[in-house]
Amino acid sequence: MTTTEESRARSVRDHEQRVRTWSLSGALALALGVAASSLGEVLTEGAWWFPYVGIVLVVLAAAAVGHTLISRAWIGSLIGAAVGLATLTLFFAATTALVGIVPTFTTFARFATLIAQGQSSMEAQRFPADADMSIVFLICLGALALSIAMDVIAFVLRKPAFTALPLLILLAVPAFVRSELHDALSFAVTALAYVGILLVAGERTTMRAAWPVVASALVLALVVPVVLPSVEPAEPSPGTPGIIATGVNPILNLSNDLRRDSPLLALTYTSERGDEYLRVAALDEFTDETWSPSEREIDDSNTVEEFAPSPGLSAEVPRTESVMQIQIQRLRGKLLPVPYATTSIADVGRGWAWEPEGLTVSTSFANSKGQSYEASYITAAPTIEQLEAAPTELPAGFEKYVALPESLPAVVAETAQQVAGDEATRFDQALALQSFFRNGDFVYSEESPVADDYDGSGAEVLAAFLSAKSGYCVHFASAMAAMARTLDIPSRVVVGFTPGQRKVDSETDEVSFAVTTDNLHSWPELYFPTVGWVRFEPTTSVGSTPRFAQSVNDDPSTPDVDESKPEPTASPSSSATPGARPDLPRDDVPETPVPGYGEVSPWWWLLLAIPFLVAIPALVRVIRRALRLAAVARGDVALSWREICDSAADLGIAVSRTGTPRQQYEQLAAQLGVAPVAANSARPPSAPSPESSTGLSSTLALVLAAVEASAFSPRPQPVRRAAVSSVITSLRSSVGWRARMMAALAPRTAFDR
Amino acid sequence: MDAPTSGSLPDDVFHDRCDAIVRSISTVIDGKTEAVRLALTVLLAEGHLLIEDVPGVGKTMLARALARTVDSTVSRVQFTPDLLPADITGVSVYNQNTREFEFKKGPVFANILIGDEINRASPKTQSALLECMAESSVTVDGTTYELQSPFIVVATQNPIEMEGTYPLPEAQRDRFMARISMGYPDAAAELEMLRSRELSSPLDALTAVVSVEQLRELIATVRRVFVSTAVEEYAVAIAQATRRDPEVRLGASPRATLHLVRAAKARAAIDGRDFVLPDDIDALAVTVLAHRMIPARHAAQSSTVLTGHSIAAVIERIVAETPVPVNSVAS
Repeated sequence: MTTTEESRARSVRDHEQRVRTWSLSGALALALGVAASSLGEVLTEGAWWFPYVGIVLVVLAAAAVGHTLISRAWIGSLIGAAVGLATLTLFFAATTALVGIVPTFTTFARFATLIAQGQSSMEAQRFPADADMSIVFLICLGALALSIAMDVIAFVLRKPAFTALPLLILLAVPAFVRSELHDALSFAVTALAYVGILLVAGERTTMRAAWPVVASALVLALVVPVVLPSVEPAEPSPGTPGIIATGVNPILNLSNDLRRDSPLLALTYTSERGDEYLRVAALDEFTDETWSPSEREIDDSNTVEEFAPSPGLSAEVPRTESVMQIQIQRLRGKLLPVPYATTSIADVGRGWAWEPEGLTVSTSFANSKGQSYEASYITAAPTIEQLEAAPTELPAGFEKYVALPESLPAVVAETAQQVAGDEATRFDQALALQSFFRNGDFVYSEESPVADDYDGSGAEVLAAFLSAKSGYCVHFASAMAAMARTLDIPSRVVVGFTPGQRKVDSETDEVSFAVTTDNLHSWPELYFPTVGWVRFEPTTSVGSTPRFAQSVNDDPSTPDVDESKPEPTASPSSSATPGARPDLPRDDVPETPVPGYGEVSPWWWLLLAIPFLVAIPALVRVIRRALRLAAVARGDVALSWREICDSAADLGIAVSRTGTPRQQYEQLAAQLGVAPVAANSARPPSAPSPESSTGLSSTLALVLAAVEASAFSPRPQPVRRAAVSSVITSLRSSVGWRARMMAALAPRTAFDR
Repeated sequence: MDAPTSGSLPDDVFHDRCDAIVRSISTVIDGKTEAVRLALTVLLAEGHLLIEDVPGVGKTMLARALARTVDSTVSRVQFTPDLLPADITGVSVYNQNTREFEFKKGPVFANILIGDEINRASPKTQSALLECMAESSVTVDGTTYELQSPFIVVATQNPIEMEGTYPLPEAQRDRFMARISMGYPDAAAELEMLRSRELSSPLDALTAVVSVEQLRELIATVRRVFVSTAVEEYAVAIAQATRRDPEVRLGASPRATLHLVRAAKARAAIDGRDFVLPDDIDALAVTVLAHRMIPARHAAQSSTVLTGHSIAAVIERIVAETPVPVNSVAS
């Protein structure tokens, strides 16, 4: 080679290297951008996507510039990381940085704060969460880490096939958050983008090695969601009830869970007493903003084998003891639903402890999901006399149960006085308050509080609720509890579940109850000395009032009253109220929930995806052929031979992959010289058409000569694209239709190097 | 990359001369065209040739015929067990007239050295050939004498299990470009031989068809044959694979790779090409590599013929498994 030729060849090589670097970086960015669509499952709207893609593009582009200019790949990745960090600094902590982009210690402190904020923001929100500033920061941080990881894998380690790993991590984020793999479309599209990476990186990586990665990703995406729901075929929809999913105040999530379009099966239970309210959390602190559980350390010695006695319950009060079997389904969190008043729990895992005042069960490290346990509990049935005879003085330590925030609007206390001020006993006052809410003036609505901006449970909200007379359980419960406190009756708000839907097993006649997210509820509990905490039900049209807490106006046909009747209608007379909430247990609704999106979709996705999956190899092959032929037309003669050999291999013609072009030519010629007549038995034996095979052979020989000249001699010869196409066509027509179909549908060389 | 015309012969001249040599040799060696062509390949690649076979199949005949067709200085050494190094390289003798030591050139000072039954001499004597074969020079008593150009050793030997033979040292085997074996002639060729030998030795009728000068031109032409990067990579890949192969104790040396490519150039030229194809490498791999490699197990116990065959099989497998880099030289 002369010097000019060498430099020309080098510049051609450099150009190819640049093209390769940039196209690979582009493919990585595309895959990352597409894979992020899976986050759409857990985040509302899509505005977060732009900063995410911005960071990805900045990092990968900077790294690509580095790769083009500097031969050591790790330096390029380092450049990408540095530029990414600078961009992150610029957008999120510019004021703390030198020149706005050079991070200082303060910058990292700011980052740490943002991370902490993001975490608590995610904990506080129910998914899909709003991507606030701190969450967007977390996303951008993830984008930075993933882009660097992808770049290092593709350029430093030179294993583009392994870029599947960061992509899978990204795709798995919704699965971590919601403990299920659902977004098959994201998986499929990402898999396609991943195939793009492999195609671009094709020269160095072995597609064959990558195929299992693609396959397992798709299997994961498609089969897992199909298999999982089959355990619970009637179970609708994705997600986990947010109510007790995190350690934060459960009441915050309640409203969102109630508005869930398709209910989730939270738990099922059976009890010898029939249906029961299940308590999850007791909220005793009433502040300006909300009701919340008072800060208490969980005492790990309060193991669930034996609970503290029910507070305030004296020996004279009649009671029944029962046992309930609870099977948690989709409920996930650190609180365990139990009936009141639980005395012991059996068969639950380690780590659960009870809290002595509210008798609720929580854990610091375990998870309620999938738990199955047996709760023994007592149900107090005080007589009206006992309730009315309860002492009026406040027991010691109960000051916090009558504490009111200073900002409580005066209208609350005034209304309470107005409604119940004339009643003789505390219990009668409580009944009067309950009737006030249930007598028909109040309307159940999940929407109007949001629409009129008084959603919540805080002191401010109550005035709005009392005047609008429209709201849902949180408003009813907190209003009654607050009004009770103005009358010096100790009260708290309890979050939990209404009894749920009765189900009878057709074979065993076993009665069980299915509790969904629509059964999420809150209600007030009022304390009467010598009797203890008593549940009331102010929420109109919902649930049942306890027998002893019924006024004469109330429908007597509740399970508490008529225990001999095994069929609880569970539906008070006022259920005809317009705007009745959907979580109301209704007998007229079929027990099988209406098939929702979540139930049907895995199957649909699978059905849709099968042809897509099956078509991937063929698609890849077609694309590669087109790319190669285009390259041939541009003058890359060598690719023409590879394409011919691959096409032959696809058609089932034995061609040595490691042979020399001449040996491969001989194999092709031998195959064609003998095979055409035998393979095409449909053709008359008298007309074996030697012309066509001779024509083919001479075209083939021409291509071979060009390939050999181009690859091995100093005088490259061009080859016409048409010649290559005609050879491939001839090869195709030389084999049977089965081989042709196999070559088209399942090409063997689709994922070859 | 202009056409490599300068200093190289036109195609037809080159071809004619090669044809003449092959035809000339073929008059004495019946039905062994492949062996003759391989011998010519090695000759044009300026390599040393080792002809190994059982006695009586015409090894020496081939060597002598090859030497005769070229009008060059030829010396012949019969390697016997008592042969000494000085018998090959030459010796300093005291000249009584001049009263000085005077170097008497040995048989290596020739264009073609025929070493007959080379493995019957002791390894010590064979070692005398190492410098000559590698560097085309001889150093005696501190004085280095250049050998003639071209200098080609054509040696014959019996397989080592034959009585009275020593194995050639690895270093020396590595200096032979190729080892060919004659094989028994087929019936027709053997009959033909019977008839032709009846009257006289056919060698006597053999006359030189090319001069030394012409041979140098042929060699120069071969040197100008183009070897693409792809083919070089292919040759190196094969050599590397022999070194990694678990069935091989001693793989091909870098010199072997060099010899392989040079022989491939000669083969390409003889085929009328001015560039090497991977097929040339394939065709020559066993001939060029086999005699230098040592199989992993039982190398000492089993016979040369058998190990030779097993090594040949290993090389064939490696060649079949090594992918050929087919890339366009320029886009």
